[in-house]
Amino acid sequence: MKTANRISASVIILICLLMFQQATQIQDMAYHLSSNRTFPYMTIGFVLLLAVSLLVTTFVSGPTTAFANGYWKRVIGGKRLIVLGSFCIYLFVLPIVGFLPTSAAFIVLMTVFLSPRIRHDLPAALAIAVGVVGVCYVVFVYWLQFYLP
Amino acid sequence: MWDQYVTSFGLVATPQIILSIAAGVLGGLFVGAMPGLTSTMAIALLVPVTFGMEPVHGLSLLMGVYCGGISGGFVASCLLNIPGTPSSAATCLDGFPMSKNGQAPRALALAGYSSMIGGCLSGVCLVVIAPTLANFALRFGPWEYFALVIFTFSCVSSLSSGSTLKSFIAAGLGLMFALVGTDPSNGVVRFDFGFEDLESGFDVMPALIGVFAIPQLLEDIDDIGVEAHLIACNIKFADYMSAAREIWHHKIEVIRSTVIGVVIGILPGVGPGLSNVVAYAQARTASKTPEKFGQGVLPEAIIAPETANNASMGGAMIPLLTLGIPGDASTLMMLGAFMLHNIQPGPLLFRDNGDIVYAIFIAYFIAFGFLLLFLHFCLKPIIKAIVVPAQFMIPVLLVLCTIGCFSLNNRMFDVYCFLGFGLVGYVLKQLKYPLLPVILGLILGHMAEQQLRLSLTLSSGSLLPFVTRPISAVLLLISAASLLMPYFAARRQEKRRMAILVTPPED
Repeated sequence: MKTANRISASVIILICLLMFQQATQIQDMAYHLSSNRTFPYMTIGFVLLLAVSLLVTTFVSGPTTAFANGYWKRVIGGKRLIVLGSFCIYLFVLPIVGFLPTSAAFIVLMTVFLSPRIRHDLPAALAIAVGVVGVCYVVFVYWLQFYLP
Repeated sequence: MWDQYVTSFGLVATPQIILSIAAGVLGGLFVGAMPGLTSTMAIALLVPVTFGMEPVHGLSLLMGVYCGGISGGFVASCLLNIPGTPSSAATCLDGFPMSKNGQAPRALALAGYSSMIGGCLSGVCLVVIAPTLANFALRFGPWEYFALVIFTFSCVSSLSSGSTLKSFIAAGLGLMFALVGTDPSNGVVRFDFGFEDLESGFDVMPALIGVFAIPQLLEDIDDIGVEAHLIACNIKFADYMSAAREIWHHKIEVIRSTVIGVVIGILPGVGPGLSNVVAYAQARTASKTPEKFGQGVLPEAIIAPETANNASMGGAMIPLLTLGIPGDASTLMMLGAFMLHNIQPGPLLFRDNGDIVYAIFIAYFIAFGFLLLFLHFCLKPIIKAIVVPAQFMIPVLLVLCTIGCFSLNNRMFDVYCFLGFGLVGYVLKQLKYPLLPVILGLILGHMAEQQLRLSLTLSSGSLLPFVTRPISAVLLLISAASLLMPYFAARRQEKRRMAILVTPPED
């Protein structure tokens, strides 16, 4: 937990510094009694202070709760990462190919990938993909008259 | 007031809205019953759909989903020993053993009726307390509102599980996200990092959906392939009748749990997830036979948590409607829905949109009427739905979230925000940062900034009114006390632990 806290606190400190640099560029309005920068400075300073405190506690405090065995392997490895990656690809392909085919393909591929019994689940995956895409089309395009990407 | 009720009843009592509430409750029951899916996610999925509806219609539908979603959690708790929603965690402790003892219909009937009664009683509290509190809140100036935001953050951070420091950092991150875009007071663009799309800031809904849906769905992947052992159950009308009699015999328990639920619901940031555990613990403390808790014998061990979690709903709606401060994650989504319809919850809501508020009250009670109906007639399909494999749900829900986010403004930027906030939420969740403060920060950031600026302008830059005005001073004092509370609680626990270690064992 300590290493994770150290890394997260350091990243947050870096973000705060970046935000602080941006805050110095905020245009101030002369007719305002209170500055445009007051609240941003307050917020960034507050988070910076807390992140530094978190970083300090990782060096001075006693033993902390450890993550369970295999925790990080589960978090950043295996199926979760593949699903996340596929979802990112889906979102970037979506405006190019269109919602209906991309979504149907995503549902089928993901179900097949996640399924422990591929043969058994494939027909259901196909049916669900067609059903979901169809319902989305009816609800969003016909009923609510929205556009689909 | 009664005139407004009559007018609002006219607004709600249309076939479309009544059917929407019914559909919402039924859908909510299904979603709530499925382990891994929560009422928050159900509301998140539906909020974009309500965009095209009239405010009363959309909010009534969401109210139905909220009621169904919170109530549905008990089904999986009793039959699978997995809470359908976090708000039913304590129900597992006695609901599942009771079902295992061959009394599944009794467990389900007790939980279902307790949910319904808790929800209705807290609805009465909502109807009585909300207008009074809104009247009181009309006295609030910018100092009080800023102090209220501070109070909300301190409450959320001190009451959320895990490190208080991390909760505050999460809230601060949310506030930093709120800084991006145009300054609400004077239109100056800031923190846009040169991206045109960032000039209007982050839309709340994609952020909300991303932060709550993506981490949850990714975590649900681990449950795929895990064999679920569902206890068979055939519930009859007579089971409900005997459950009603048992609940009547434990009316003190019901009242106590309702009070616990409403009070915890009113506190910002904590809701049904905590109230059901507290109510269970209180029921155990008050019981003459506490040793029988956990064995699935005592009805009050199911009545207390289920009454409390639904009672939190009415409680959580009180600060939302009167102060614009959400009580829990689901009401946070409801706040997003209000904002989507250009309605600003707060004390002026009762004056400016009284018809909508009273329509929400009416929709709330109608939803519980439907809940009773569905408990009697639709429990069988709901029980079947709790074993729907996650491999089907995860991709479908990701697609529905995507289209929901896109439909808000018809732009892909919102979808990318959904993904970005989802990734941030996932990383923070894995590092044990609570997610609720992030979104609270994003939503309340503008309010905090505007009120702080207004208060400083009105007091010519002086901070003194924050402590000289009584309401603001009290709120800040409570905030400070709630910050110190976890420290003192930890010290007391440590002392107790040491005392146990030092005390020599008796012969």
